[in-house]
Amino acid sequence: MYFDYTATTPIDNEVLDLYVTIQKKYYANTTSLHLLGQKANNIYEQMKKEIRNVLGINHELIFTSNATEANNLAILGVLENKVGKIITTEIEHPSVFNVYKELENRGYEVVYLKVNSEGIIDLNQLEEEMNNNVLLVSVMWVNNIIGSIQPIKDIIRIVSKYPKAKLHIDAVQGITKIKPDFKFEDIDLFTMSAHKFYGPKGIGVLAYKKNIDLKKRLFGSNSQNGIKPGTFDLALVACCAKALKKYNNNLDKHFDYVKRLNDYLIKEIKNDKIVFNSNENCSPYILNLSIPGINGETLVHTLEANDIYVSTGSSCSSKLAKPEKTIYAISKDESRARSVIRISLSYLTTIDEVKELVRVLNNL
Amino acid sequence: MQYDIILIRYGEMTLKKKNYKQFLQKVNENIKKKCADLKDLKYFNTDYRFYIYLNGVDYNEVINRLNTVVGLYSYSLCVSVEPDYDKIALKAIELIKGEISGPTTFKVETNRSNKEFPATSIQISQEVAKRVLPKVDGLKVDVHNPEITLNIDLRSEGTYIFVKEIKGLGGYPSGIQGKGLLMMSGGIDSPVAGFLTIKKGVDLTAIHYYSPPYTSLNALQKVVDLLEKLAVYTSNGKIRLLVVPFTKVQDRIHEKANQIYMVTLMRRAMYKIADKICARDGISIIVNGESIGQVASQTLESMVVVNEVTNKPIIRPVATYDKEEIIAVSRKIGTYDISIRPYEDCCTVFVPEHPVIKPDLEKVKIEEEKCDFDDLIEEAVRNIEVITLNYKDKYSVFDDDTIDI
Repeated sequence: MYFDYTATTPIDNEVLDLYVTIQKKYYANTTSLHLLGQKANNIYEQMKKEIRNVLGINHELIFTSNATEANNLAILGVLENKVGKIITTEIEHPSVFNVYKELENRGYEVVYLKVNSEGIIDLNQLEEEMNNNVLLVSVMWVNNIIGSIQPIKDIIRIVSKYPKAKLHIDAVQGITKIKPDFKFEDIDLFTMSAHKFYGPKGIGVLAYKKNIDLKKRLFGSNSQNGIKPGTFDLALVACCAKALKKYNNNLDKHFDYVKRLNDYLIKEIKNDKIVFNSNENCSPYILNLSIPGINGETLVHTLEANDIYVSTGSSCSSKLAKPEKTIYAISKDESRARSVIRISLSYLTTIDEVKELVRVLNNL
Repeated sequence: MQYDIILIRYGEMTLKKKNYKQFLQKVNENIKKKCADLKDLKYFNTDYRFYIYLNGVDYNEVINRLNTVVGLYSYSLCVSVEPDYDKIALKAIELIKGEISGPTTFKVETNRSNKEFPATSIQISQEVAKRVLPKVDGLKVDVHNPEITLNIDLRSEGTYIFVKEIKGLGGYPSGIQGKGLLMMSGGIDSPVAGFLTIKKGVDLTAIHYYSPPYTSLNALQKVVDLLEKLAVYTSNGKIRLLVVPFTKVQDRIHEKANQIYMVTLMRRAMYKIADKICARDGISIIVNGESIGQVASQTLESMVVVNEVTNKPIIRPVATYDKEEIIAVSRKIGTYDISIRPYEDCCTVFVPEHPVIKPDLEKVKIEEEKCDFDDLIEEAVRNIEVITLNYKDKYSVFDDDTIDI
């Protein structure tokens, strides 16, 4: 029983079929001058258009190997050759957080916005920290550990008052899952990852507004505006577009279904040892809990013995035996932050699976 | 800020006394066509101004459309107010605060065409300024060089205020001046020449000399993509492209003539074809992107020799522009990135290492006689392919596949 959809999702069959079709039929390099290359390039342009249509944007799109690379290229590309202040949150994914840490080492003035017990930043703090010296603000839309949803619309309003400051949103856990209260078109740069919405692994997307002078961090051909030079896999691009379109179309239906599963879990988990780290305002796709006193990894393996697969913290840092950063930030409780498990749900999750999970958790 | 009305000022055509009505009608039509899908807009015009009532439509969307209408001098986003000092001042404060970020200077200018209002323009300006000044931090009056001007427009149909004036494209309404034939190579200069000519109210048809296999479909696609960028400025959003099969003519010149005259003879053949199209389609002028001295075929001597094959006026809008100036326009109209795609075009194949820079007409004529290409020119004109392009749908010269996802 798979409860780790936040880490990654299984690929959709139609998407996988498309992968094979494109690999077989449009294998030419999109930059080749001959007809086959031109046809491949045309498919590439079509797919970019599909993605822009789904999200209602005019942004430039760069296809990367994953969202980590997309976040790196976004942050470093905006800041190259510039000096100033940069702002992020204390609960970012490592692919943003660790870039800011690196920049802090290099001498940038970095602010890590605090979050409250629900994992939400304080807009007043953001407003106070903003000034004409701010170059970049990076905020994740949906947190990958507890599922807290940041007030992106308000953040856009605040940051857009400062023309020099660019806003970068890590949208990885929100896209196709949460209905945005904002327009993607209003965000300077944002990133996503196809394997989080039933697409293939190996492809992330960086979307940035055409008026942003994004500097190169990699050097090679002029492919993809020179931001991510080199030959890319057209089949992955097409699969990303297809998965995005398909799952964005099903957003409401899947949301309602998963919300019911999540409600059921919260109602039926009756074990006094369990503390919920997620709350009702979080993404229903994520339910994070702690059993203080028991190590998160031990919990994962205990559930595994019952064929239940969950995660400790972020899969990208789950192998570290440190207290979970986000849980510590919302609770300031080290024991709680060391005993974290993240249950994540999907439209593929059945009620029987959820019942079995409840049974096992209640008997811990 | 909630804007109610966009006030539009016409361009140069206000100078045209006799044709004024006709010009006006055309430009008004063009504005309405560009905004046809924005159903909630309402229009009103006087002899010197055009008003768009927004009725809740996003003003940015309307401004984007107006930015593609030639013949407009400028526009302002206005707020509708009641003709009362306090009410005008209240809205004006809001408007000014939205525009400024620190201390600044201002003045009030009143245009009182509604003479029923019981005060002079100067009195109105003073009364409103008196009410606005203490309410906006750091605001000072400067009647000579103000950073912003609050305009009050008292008209019989309503009272409007505005502070900002957005520059339009200028020029004459598209299509008012008759027809031109634009020679399009696919480089940086010809689309700019085309844009500048459309701006002057000329209805353009484009002609492209296509020489497969020396040039590829990519080069043709480039021309298509460029023209789609220009089509946004035409009154109907469309532009017609004539694709001339030019390979045989080029081959003949290459085979028969002294190679130092290759470019000169090729240009003469192109002009001959253009001249025939003009006669056939009732087109008055030929337009191209030649710029004095830029390349061997664009020296004054070359122009004289090439020009000799037609008596149609040849308009070279960028003749006196430096390359930097041309590039600046091409960036503005979004053609630059397309123009620099690296494909061979009809002007770059068969170029000899040392082309003649100051061709002699008599010698050129001798070389041309050797080629004897008149039959090929007739054939090329007969076999022209016509493609109608518009700015909304992307046309592809490739037999493109799309994938249903």
